[in-house]
Amino acid sequence: MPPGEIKNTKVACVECDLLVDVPPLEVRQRSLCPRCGHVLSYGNLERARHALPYGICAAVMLPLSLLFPFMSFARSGIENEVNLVQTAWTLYLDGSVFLSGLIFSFIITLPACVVAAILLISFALNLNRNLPLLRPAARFIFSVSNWSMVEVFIIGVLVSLVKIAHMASVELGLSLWTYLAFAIFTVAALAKLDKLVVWQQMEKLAT
Amino acid sequence: MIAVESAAASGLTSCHTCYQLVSTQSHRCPRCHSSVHARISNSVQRTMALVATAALLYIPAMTLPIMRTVSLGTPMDSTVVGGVVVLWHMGSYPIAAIIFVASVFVPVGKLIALTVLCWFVTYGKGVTPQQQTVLYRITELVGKWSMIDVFVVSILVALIKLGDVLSFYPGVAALTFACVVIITMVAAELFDPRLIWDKAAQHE
Repeated sequence: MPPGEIKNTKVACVECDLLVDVPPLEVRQRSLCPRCGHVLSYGNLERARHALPYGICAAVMLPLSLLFPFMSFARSGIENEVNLVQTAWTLYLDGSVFLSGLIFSFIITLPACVVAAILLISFALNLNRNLPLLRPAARFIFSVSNWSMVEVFIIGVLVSLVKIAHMASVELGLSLWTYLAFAIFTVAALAKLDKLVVWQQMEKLAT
Repeated sequence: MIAVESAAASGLTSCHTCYQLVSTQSHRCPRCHSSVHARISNSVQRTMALVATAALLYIPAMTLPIMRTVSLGTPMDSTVVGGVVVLWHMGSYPIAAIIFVASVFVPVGKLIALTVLCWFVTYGKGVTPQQQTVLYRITELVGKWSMIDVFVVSILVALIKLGDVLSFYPGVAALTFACVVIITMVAAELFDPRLIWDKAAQHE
């Protein structure tokens, strides 16, 4: 597109099926459906490129969260320390195999895949290059990221703390903080990647 | 209100994954290769089937124990509501409220909301499409937060393993509750909000 030329994109609102012309947006602008108010698009390519630093930070935080203890609990001289993986693994040892798998995928596998996809897409956008697996990565992000439950898990941690604080001494480990940072960076990165902008740019890169 | 035309009426449909406009005749989006439908097929029936499944599973999720506590060799089972009551008596009112909202209010509210939405897009009138859309968005937004209690169980079970002194074990309800949450999330995804506006357009 030559500079200065205004080119609208025709889309159908996914919530009410209204045909809408979406104009090119500024970094902080949003485009809403005039009938139902659904957010059709936000920001532009510049904004989408800002996902990279957040994606990198998230990618650093996740392995750290797996390395260090998450919480520890001590009573009557016996202490027990757990890491993030053990919160799902113990359920497996206790016989809840299926539940253990679900929790493992909600708090570790899916979020890890989401971050990998964010990195791939934001590298492609910043380098202006077509990279392999871009299309599956973008499909994954825009359909599956709702199933990543990192933030719900963190609230769960706070609730557990209150539940057992009176029973014995509970200490928070380093991993809890890196996992919290991981959650924040992931949300920040996803908020930069607009569906419409990403797919339009990827289409250009592919040709 | 301005006269508007839906994409379907123009023989077009939007790809849910990438917003590409494609003809209603095609089944696959040319840009991202996702499957596309003008409307989610049998949206109301499939949503209601999952709502019924979740409602049935919600009964054991509430009545069976979600966690077993073994303290000095004595086992004690606790249910979701039992946990809320204990927290309330401990004086942790905000946490008791969070658990109650996440485990009772949200799942039940979601089942009712989806049923109401399905009823409206099939028979209803009187409620504006804007109001229905707000209901739909809340339903979609709060879905995964019901998982809090299941995560609490997984954390406590892993953390509190001090042999016979004090140990926590998962209960059956943890799994059924997780299933209720997952099934209601899928039900909300299968509900097609465009039906709300199709119905409104019929009445005009």
